[in-house]
Amino acid sequence: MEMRFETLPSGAVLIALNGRMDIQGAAAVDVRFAAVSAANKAVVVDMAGVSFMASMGLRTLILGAKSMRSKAGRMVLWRPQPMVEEVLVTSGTHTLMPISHDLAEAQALAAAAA
Amino acid sequence: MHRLAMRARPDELPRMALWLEAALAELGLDDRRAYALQLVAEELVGNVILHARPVADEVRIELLVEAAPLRFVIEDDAAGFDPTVPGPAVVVSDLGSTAIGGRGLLLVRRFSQGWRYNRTEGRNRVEVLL
Repeated sequence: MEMRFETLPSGAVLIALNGRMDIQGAAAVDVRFAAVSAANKAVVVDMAGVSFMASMGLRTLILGAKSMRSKAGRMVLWRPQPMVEEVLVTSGTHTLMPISHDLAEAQALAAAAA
Repeated sequence: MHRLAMRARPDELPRMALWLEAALAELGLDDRRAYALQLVAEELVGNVILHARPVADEVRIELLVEAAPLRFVIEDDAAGFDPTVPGPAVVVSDLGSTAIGGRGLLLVRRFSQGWRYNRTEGRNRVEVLL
């Protein structure tokens, strides 16, 4: 599981995840993911490279989103793969962090008040 | 039929992943069912690794995948635990109050066609229809 991040012109941070968000994948990134999320007011997570999502992966996302709450920021998930999106929706995670398949929309959602 | 014996330890997960990959290559499932099988295996094995209470010095797991009908079976020798009994509902409406975990068995329920549990001879056995 790999994680990269960069700041977009809008000021939002784009965190790109690559690999499988299973028990080991989640463990490989969760501390860093939470730390980067906590330091930013608007977070867009590029989910294109996530080929698998299970409950420990959801836990990492939710922990990251929770770490942002004190800064009135939002986490948005951008372009999840179809089965990953189904896991996010089935688990209700999409109500905690919006899903968007358009980067401009994702940034706007991330910048909006939580 | 594909069978795997493993210990309930995180360092066994890569071996499980390889075994599952080999099984999937033979089974030729559509994307949805291939994903469902991986998800069910991940959640149920993960549950035993992370939460099972050992009776002997180490928890041992046996996995089975059968093709037609597609079925995943997990047996472990930990203390009795029935994952099919509904747990507390996960609050999803609010990021502040939602629990950080607890979604794994919900995912198993939603991505399978049914499951059942029984315990015999000191082993938990869960069968999942996919």
